[in-house]
Amino acid sequence: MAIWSQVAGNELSIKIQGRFDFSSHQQFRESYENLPQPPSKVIIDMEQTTYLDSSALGMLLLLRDFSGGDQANISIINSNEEVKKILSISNFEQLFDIQ
Amino acid sequence: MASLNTDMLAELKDIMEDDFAILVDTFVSDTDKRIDVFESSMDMADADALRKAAHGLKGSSSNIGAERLSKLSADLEVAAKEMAFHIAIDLIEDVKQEYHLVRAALLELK
Amino acid sequence: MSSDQVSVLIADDNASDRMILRALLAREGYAVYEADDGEKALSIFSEEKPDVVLMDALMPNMDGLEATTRIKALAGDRFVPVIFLTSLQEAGALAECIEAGGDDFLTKPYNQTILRAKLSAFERVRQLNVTVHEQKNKIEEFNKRLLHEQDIAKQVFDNITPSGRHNIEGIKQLISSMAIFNGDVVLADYKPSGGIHVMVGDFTGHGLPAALGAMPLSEIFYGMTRKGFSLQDILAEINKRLKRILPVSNFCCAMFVDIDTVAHQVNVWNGGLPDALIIRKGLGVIAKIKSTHLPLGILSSDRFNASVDTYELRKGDLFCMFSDGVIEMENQQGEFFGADRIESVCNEHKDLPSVFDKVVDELADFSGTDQQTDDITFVELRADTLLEHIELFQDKQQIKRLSGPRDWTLSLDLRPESLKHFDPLPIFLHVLMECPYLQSHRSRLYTILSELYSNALEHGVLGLDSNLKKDPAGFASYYQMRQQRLEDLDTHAYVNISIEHRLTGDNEGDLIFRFEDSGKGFDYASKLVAVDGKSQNLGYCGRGIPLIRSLARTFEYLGAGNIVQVIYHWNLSQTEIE
Repeated sequence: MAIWSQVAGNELSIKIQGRFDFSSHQQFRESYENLPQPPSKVIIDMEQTTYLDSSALGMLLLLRDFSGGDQANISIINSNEEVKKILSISNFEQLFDIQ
Repeated sequence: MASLNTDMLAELKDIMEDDFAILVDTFVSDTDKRIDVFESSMDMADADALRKAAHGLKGSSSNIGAERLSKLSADLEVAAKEMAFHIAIDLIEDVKQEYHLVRAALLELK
Repeated sequence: MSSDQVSVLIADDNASDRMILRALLAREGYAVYEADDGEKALSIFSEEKPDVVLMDALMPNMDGLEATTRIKALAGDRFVPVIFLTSLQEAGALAECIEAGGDDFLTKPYNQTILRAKLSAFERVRQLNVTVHEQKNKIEEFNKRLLHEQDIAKQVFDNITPSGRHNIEGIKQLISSMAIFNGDVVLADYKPSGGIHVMVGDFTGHGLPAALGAMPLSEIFYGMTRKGFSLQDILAEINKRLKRILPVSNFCCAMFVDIDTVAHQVNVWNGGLPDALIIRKGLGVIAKIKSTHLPLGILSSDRFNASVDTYELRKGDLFCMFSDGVIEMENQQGEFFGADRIESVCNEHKDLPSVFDKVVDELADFSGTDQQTDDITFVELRADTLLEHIELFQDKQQIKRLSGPRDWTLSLDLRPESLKHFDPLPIFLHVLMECPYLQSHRSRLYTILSELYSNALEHGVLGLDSNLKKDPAGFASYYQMRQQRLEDLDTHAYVNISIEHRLTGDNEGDLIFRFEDSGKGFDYASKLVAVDGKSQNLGYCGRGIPLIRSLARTFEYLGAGNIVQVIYHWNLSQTEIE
């Protein structure tokens, strides 16, 4: 598991590689927690994410909360079928823009 | 080679203080008993008793600085273990001879 | 010998060697015990419990090897270093000493420096051992206490959350937790109006943190189901509570099933659980009920959606639900059990009255190990058994419903400061729902109470004309005036509410509502005619009175029109469906 993040202006990009589960907790939080202000847009690239569990869903909710809750603008891109299925069982497309 | 290591004995005297004389007496009476055991065990061809007595003397003589006596006892212990009574009989004579020297030197130091 | 002085036992049959060693040890400040054979060494050891033993190998009576083995056994957990005194040279003999439990050797002739170094090294090890031992005892003590506390917490938890202990015939469940506390819950109860509510929940995480959320969930589920609340109300309440108490990252995937035993249908709400399956005898899986909602505890109340999908449920049908621990169960090859496998087991046994045992067997075969990585829950609802037993339950309910207060009057006098700020409806409704025979009438009673109260307050006390509400603009000004007049309320304003209950037979009774307000009343004779004749275009207003009349046995205005009395009749032989 590895997480990369970069900030351009007020836009945050996060890339997650491998299994996204509780062990990524610390690293995932660090990718946004120290930003001077909440990002106006977040793009999470899950091209190389193989699997997510319910604690990963929880981490996504934390990021959403940090980025303004209902006002947050978060896109999850390039996710594979397995990951998409997990996101859609929980109907996360109601909270995130899943492409 | 002298019968006693004088440096070691000086140290021992320092450590034992007033008890040095008692130590010498104890060593002498223990060793007398062991020499009796050497002879009786030879008479009864009891190699085990011989080995244990030789082992004991090996240790106590080394502690008191009687290095050659300790070495001879060690040889005797080996002979007893290998049941080489013909070698043991000569070694016992050597041990007795050396012990006389050691005892005389120790009693002088008292 | 002072208690912090380290004590040493010398076991050697050589008197002169013992003397030398004793003198050396005394100089280093050790307390010394002496033994000249193995047996004596053993008895001194058990009496004096020395910290270190210096042991000669060859001794009469009991040799040093045996004495060492016994001393180590006596010492148990306590670390007591045994140092062999030896002039032994052969490796084999040295190895024997170690095997017997010896920790080190001290060769003759004794050397003060070496003796000091060895003893102080062992003293450090011994201290470390004492510390480790103390910590081990502390941890054991702590662990014991923790287990005890956990045990109590578990009992409390089980009492509050009787997950899977609902005693309803026709519901079978497999609940297997990976820790003492389970993050999965299965709840089921009869509705007072007939029918059954079943809920399966899967909280994020495992163990105690996951289980904590199950307590409010279960309290709300049982409390509200018994009082006749609908699936929508219960879900909204659970969602609201979980949203408030759970950390942002935690939520509860859940399925709520409302079984309508009269209409033979199920209403299903699925938020984040795997597809539920409906299996029809002879046909296999005929419907998969997908998750169409976010899990509970994520959305705020205003965004929460409790809409359901409705399916037919025939006698012989099975309704199966799973937590994702079932789908994601891994075998030793790292493969997932998967939804397809469940479906094919259900299809394979489509002619059986129940697939429960087949699925459970398949799960056990698949995992092939006791290692579990998630809480696992599988629930099967069997329509024929549920429908059969609901009739028995209803018979029992007849008797139960007649319990509670039966002959009573409740009245409340609301004066200006209460009229301005206080909504009396929840209190009345709460009291009414304490009467088991009224529980299935909840929504009708609520309608009557709320219509009567708003009439008394708005038309009576505040003197507002309902004709105002005929068009949208008037509607807005009506509420503006309502607000203004409430603020300017005079000190004599009041609404007096009384509710009386009387039994009118073995299985029936009357509720008499009487509302009196401080308003000047109105010419009710003419108004009733108009309503009865349906001659008015009522538009936005006036829906209240006809609605009450349709629910109640009698409806009449009294006095100057400032008193209204409504009699509502209930009868247990009718089955009410809300």
